[in-house]
Amino acid sequence: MPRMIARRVLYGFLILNVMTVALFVLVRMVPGDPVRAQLADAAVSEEQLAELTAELGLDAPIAVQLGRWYADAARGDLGESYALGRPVTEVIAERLPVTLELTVMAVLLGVVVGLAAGAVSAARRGSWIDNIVRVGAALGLSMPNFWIGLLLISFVSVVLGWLPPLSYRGPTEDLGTNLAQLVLPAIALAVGLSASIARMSRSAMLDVLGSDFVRTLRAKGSSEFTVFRHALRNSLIPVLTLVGVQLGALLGGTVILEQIFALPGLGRTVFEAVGNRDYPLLQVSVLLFGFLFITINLLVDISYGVVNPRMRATSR
Amino acid sequence: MPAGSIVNRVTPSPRTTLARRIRAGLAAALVLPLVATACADPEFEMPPPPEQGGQPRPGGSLSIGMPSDTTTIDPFEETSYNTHERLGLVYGRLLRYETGPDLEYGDLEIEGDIAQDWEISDDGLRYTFHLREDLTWQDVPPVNGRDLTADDVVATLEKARQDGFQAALLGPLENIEAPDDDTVVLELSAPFAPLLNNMANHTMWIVPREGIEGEYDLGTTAIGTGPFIMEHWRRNIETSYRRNPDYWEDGKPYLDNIVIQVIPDQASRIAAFRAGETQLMTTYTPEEAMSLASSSSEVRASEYPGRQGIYLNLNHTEEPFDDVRVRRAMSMAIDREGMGESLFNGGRYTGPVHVTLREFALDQEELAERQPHDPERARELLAEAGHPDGFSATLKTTPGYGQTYVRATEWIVEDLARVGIEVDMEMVEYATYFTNTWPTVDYEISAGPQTPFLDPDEWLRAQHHSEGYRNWYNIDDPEVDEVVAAQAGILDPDERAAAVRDAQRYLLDEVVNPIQVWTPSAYTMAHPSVRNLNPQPVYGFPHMRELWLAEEG
Repeated sequence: MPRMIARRVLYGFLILNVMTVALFVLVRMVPGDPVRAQLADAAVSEEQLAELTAELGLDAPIAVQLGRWYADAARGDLGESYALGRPVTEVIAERLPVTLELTVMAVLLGVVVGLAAGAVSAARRGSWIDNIVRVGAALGLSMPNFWIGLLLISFVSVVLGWLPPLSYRGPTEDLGTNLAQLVLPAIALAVGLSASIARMSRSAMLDVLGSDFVRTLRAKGSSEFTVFRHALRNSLIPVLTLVGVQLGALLGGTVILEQIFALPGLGRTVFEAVGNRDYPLLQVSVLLFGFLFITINLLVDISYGVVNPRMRATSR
Repeated sequence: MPAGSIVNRVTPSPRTTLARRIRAGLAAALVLPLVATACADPEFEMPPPPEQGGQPRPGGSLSIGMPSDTTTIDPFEETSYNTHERLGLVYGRLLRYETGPDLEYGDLEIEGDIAQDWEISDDGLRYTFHLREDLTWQDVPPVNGRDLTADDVVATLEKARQDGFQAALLGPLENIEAPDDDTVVLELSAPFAPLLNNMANHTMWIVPREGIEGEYDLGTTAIGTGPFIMEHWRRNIETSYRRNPDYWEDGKPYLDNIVIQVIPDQASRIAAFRAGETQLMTTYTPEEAMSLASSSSEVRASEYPGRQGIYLNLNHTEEPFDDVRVRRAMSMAIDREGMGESLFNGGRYTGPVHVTLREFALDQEELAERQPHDPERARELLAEAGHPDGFSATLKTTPGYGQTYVRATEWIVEDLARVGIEVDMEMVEYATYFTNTWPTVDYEISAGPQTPFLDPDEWLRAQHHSEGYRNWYNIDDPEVDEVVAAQAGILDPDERAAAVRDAQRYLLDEVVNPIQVWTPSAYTMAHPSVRNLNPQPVYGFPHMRELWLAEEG
């Protein structure tokens, strides 16, 4: 197990470095000039433009710029946002918590609803409840989350004539408002996740329910509840894997959903940084998404061992 | 949907059954995202504008939904609409434009703000401003409500001249001085007609000396002489204001609080309005306005000529656009009125000086006359220019300015095809368009809006002069330079306006670049309780000090 973890950490580190370089080069290859994007309407001459470009170090070859970025990053300096004129770390510290809170809410919602639906559906295989879950899951999988977000916001505002305020409040400022603001986007994000979890846990449960050890359990006279408990636990592994894999889509979804629900999170930051050609902010924000994705998947791998003791034995 | 049904629709009773509301919600939820992209319905009738007059009722809070935030509140850093729209509530300037029910939109009449009155010497080189007496700054530390003096104005203008983008607006300014506490004198090295207009410009805010001298951070704190005090600016969330009790106009403003919320998504802005979270939304395109009006009866809509027109930009030095006959043919190929009716429920012709500047713009009849729709003549002109079978070219535009521009561009492409010009439409992403396509003239044809300049000098010189900072068309012609620059030296307002109009006639007939296509209307959507909504085509909500909210119900 420790060796597995060490290996995975090393892979993660390598992947992050590949990401760093690819991102660095890609954003600079996309047409668009960050200096002009910042100046927008100002009356500036070509000389002033060149001066500013040099000031930002954007006139140097990409390899040199990349070298400087690494050198600064090694000293803990991740640069300053072009558009906001503030240190990138400061901007991100402000916005990351919003995205994390949203993602955690969405994962919890998705896992609870998905597992419950999948388990009930497997236990009552062929019943009307099973049919509803199966159709619902197919629908949930085929609807893009931004579309669900738009439907939710329009539907709620018309039916209830009410919406949570779209001016974001942090959880420490006003927890009630904060949760009300995050519930709709979390639902929009969770629908896809809970649909795939429902499907996965249903088929995993059915597998387990048909396996030898369950037959033995039943033969020994265990209650259906005990059987169900064992089956659920054993079907958790594929579900965990799924959460890890789906997390990428979830984090990606925040880019548009934070836009729709006016949440000042990291996703919206990425969206705006692209529009502003704000290279330093874009670089670190996207890297952070990558870091989160890699870390969570590592945690998922570690948790296999907790859920299934057999894995501890095989994955040395 | 029959015409007028929205305007007269009975407000549903509050006891409407839940089932009906759910059905309505479903319908709206399913249709709303579609409506926003659907074509305008020419039969659609907008709701009436907010009511005027009555005894103002002090108090109340107004929430405004806007799509994006500013990146700084330092008045010298950013030219953006987002910045100065927010600063206008806080700051005053030497002069301002009148607002009120008696003025038409675009009647930019100058009146005193921080300056009570002013004199100009006969040679036009010396401007003397007499400041309002007992004018105080807002009671916010570290300025703490002290008196405004001429020193503050001098410090601000010096700062603007040295490091502000406002420097261009000050023209040949040579010296600024304060002979006493209530007088500021500006000395120029040459007559500069736009100066008064530029002193009323929506970026010429007067800032306390403490701010200029770095005693507090202009990028995070705003202290002015305006009707509202900025309470806080929460980045990407909201800007909130409270009434300035020491504002110099007695009894104004009427509102206790204003909040500008940042809601990037259009459907969410509409939902927030419908849920009563916001009461005002500005600069809506016709399709956005229709989308909101058709899904809510609790709304009033004011129509104005949009601040931004649609333009077709040509690369002036590239074949075949270097031939004025080709440019004229392209202009004649466009069916402007048909476009307006079919796509935008109307709108206006537009000229080289935008139609919102009523004092200087050419009138609609003349613009129509000088920009006829005549495909046959267009084909003849093309033949004369050596293109009897037309030609093909690439047009670049961006979805970044919204559907208005994309649809107008599609319309133009079809009109051009009818005279034999085969245009291939290439979509580029917004930042690419705004940084690497338009300013660098990396296009044959491009289509988009123009920044809403406030003085004709910017419209004429910045765009068409060979050294103009917004000449993003490669126009380089000494004759054009002379025509567009002449007006700036004429001090008599009527004479100058006449010269501005002559320059526009020349541009429309002889330069035809950028091709002036159309100005769709812009809408301000307001809750029915909003009274005295009288905006002008300038940033900074100057009308907010006169706006009030009627009791609901």
